[in-house]
Amino acid sequence: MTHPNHLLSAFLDDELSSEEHSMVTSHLESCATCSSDLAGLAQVRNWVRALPDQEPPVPLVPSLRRPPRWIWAAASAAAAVLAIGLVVSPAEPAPFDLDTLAGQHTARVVVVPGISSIRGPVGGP
Amino acid sequence: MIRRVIPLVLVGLMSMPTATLADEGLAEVLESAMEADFHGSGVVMCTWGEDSAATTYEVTRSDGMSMVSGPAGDFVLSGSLTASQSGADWYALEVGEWSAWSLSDRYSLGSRVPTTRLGRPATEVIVMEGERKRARLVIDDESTVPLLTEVFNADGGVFRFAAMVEFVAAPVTEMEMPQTFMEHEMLLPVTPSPRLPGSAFGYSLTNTYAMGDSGTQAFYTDGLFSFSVFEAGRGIRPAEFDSATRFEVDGIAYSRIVTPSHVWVHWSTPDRSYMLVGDLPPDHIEGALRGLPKPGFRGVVMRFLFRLFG
Repeated sequence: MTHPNHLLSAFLDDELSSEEHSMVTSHLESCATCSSDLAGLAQVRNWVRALPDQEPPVPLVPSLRRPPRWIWAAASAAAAVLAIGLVVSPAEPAPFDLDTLAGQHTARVVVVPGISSIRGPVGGP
Repeated sequence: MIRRVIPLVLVGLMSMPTATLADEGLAEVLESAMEADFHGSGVVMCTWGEDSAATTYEVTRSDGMSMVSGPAGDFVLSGSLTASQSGADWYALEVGEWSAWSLSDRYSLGSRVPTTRLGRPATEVIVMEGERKRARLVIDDESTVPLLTEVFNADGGVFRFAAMVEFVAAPVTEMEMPQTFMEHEMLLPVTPSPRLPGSAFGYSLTNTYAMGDSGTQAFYTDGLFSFSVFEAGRGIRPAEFDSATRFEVDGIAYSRIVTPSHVWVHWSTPDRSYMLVGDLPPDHIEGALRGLPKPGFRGVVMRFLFRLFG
């Protein structure tokens, strides 16, 4: 199953083509992971929208009209750090290996009676 | 201590006068079947809704040692040690400590009817859970090994079916445990996870073991069925679950995979991943899940932070 994670934000903002929209809708009906991701995205958007509007401090206003070059440089550097972080950050924890877990569960099952151990346990996932 | 107690109990049982199957309770039937010597091959099948899986297997038990050949290959059992073969190498997994076995009082033996199976005198026994028929066993009279086992779901449908298609009682078989292992791991008890309950739907948490470097295995049993809950840090879902069946318990979604001998259920909370594996029937799984940590919010913000900072 291919998860359309890259389309979820655009789906939320109604920016998808009708074909993409139908595909994502169909996928969400059967995918708890993407449904949860979509709910997360929606929550973040709601949080941002719920923030009160703030008047910028007066001294800042003139500088925003014509940002100095160092602001652009800092923003570029921050974006680069963020991108590098996404690429080289540690991998997610190793997934459960079903063979290993089945072996560990079976090893414990067989030391005492039970419906599986008495008839001869069948190993494997 | 348990390891010293169990042999004493077994010696005590062996020295007792032999009771007939008609005289025994369910606990005695299970204990007796656990110790019997036999050779057999059989089929085991599991069905939950539209999910179904089946396989064949072969088992030989002699002098307390068993050899099982199944879909995962060959493995040899002796006491608390399980040795599995991969290629020409053997790997050992030994349970370092375990709690004494006891059967939940929610089970009882119902009717017992003399019958024959595979041309052998046998007795059909019904295992009751309260007023509900939970299992049907056809037990070989000579060896007390079940030749047929059916486990029923709450609706009365067959959840698991296991039947010997070939059976020899008390074969003269010499088996040897491999002398050397590529790896010899020991399952050692660790502190139970504070997130997992001491019991769930009548299943008691009897032991907790380490799983790898950072996870735990919580073993629950009611004496008849059992399951393990593996808990680890938030991780990605196993690839096998990409096509898993989704099901709900009280409106909460879980994913399941049915294999011949086990049912697997995977879910995640905001900071942990869980895998339940066991031989318990679906209504028991649903009851147990109600007592375990619930699947939780899985937001992109959390994933982003975990990805950046681990």
